[in-house]
Amino acid sequence: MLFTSWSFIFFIILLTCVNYILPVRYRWILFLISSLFFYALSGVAGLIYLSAAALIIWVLALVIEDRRNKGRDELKTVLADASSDEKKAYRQKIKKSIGVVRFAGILMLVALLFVFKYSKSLFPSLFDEGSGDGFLRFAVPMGISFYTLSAIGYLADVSNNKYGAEKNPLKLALYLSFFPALVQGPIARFGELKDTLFEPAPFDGGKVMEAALRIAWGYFKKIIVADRIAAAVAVLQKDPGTYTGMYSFLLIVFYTVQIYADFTGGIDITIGTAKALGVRLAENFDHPFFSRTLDEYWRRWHMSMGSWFRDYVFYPVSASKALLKVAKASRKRLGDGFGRRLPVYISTLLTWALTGIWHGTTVNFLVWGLLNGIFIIIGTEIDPLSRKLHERHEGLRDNTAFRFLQASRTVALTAALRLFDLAPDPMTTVKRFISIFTVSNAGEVLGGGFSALGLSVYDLVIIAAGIAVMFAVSFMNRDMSVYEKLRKRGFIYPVIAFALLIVAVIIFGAYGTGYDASQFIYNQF
Amino acid sequence: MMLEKLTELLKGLHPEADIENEDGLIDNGILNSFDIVTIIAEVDDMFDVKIPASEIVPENFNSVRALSDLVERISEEF
Repeated sequence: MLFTSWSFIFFIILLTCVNYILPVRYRWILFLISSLFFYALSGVAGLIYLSAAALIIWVLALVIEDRRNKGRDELKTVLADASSDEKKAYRQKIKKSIGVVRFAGILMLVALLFVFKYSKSLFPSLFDEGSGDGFLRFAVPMGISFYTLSAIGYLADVSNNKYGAEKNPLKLALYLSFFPALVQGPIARFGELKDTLFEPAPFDGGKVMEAALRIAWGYFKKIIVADRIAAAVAVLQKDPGTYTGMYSFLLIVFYTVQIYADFTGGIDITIGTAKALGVRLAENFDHPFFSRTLDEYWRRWHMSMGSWFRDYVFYPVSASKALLKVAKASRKRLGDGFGRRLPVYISTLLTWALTGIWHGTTVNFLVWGLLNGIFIIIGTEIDPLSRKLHERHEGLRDNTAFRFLQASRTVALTAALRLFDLAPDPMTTVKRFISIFTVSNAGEVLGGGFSALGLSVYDLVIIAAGIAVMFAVSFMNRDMSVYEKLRKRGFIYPVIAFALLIVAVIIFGAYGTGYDASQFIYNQF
Repeated sequence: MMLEKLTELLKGLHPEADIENEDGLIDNGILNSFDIVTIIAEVDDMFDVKIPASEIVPENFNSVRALSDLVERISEEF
């Protein structure tokens, strides 16, 4: 069931009504049933794997907790009078055994993700794709990239004693499968989600109105802007040989607009749907295009993914025995400056390589990830220079033009890097990019090239207007949500805004002949 | 003893900061991720205590006192 379908809209309206009839303590059961139903529509086989993943982490987390409790008891009773060295050795032993269980669980989850997501492109000959060559045949289970990360996070957190293990396996299954967040995130942490998910907020008309407005806003971005520009992106993407020069530049711009509208719109629908049910999901974007640096951008775009990789890859790698060894050696040999930065750079690159691989099975995603890491490192290395600049020119930091320049630089850099998404072979992307500076075909593009891409003047006007509205709303949203601002003026204003959005989506939405509301881009990751 | 050693370590990293009295080492941007890795490596060396990744949160590194509490707590827990 696509988010952009009538059946989905009907589904959430029905769910919202049933939800508030039920007593609060039973609502999570409704969420679980509807999530499993939502999931089953995309294939029952996927459901089996999801249940297996839930079962694995449920058992292993309980085993971890049991070991910790037994260890505590032992220290208080049998080892109460032992020497501190003996106690220390015992603690180490328990720690190790918890670590083994955690490692086994994570290995299993990663192995399953690997088999489902990556084996097809790595070993194509094993698969039967109608040719009769291979013997394997399965579809990638929906949302597997997202709930694998959630599951790993849960296991790591329980083993680190951040919270206790969940006793009820069905509640854990709900955490992994909660349908609004299943297909494209945000990747919510169990510790953050459990209270609001298992004991959702009581009915509040204002909140439901806010949720409806948020969902309508998501449709506005997705159906008016993203889907309208999608056809042109597809044409440009398919034929890198023909569409060079100015077309490559257009592809960068169009794809940036598309992915912003598509992904943030999808998350608006996700957060809105959860809110309608009384569940609070954390925000996934914080005005990313206003970021001054690439590092800052990654703290404001797809925040739940960035923070997941920070907490479960970057920090553990940085604090690992191997890296601490490197840290000591490099400080000794390379000194307190670069010698101290090198180990962090190593974990930065490793984290970004994994982030890239997580996004897709082809080598372009790895290149994209590594380049992000490299640019962040370059940013850190030239930091002393920029500090000097700011010392010399005080007030520059808060200068509006300078801030605009910095934000534009970040947008340009991320947009250019994003080009790697669009071709499996990184060399295609490099050639595409270079052609912007070597092929001069601006005259051709402006003299009729747009209609070849399937974009009429009407389309361009709507897209431009859509971008202007998105920018204006984003700007107004900086200090307080637009909903709050409207609500303060009176209850009627959010209602009017909602009606206007719906009318706009109906009139200006991209539904051509044979229109098929397209998937969200992030569903494929 | 532990507090003194940690204070010395942080002073070595940032001689310009008022380590004893500062309670916003992270919040005020004095310590960065490079310092954190150095601190974890040094703490491992000095006290044979491994600070796990899950404890890398601002609250644990904002002051030398918080850091010393953290190291003490970790050596008692699992």
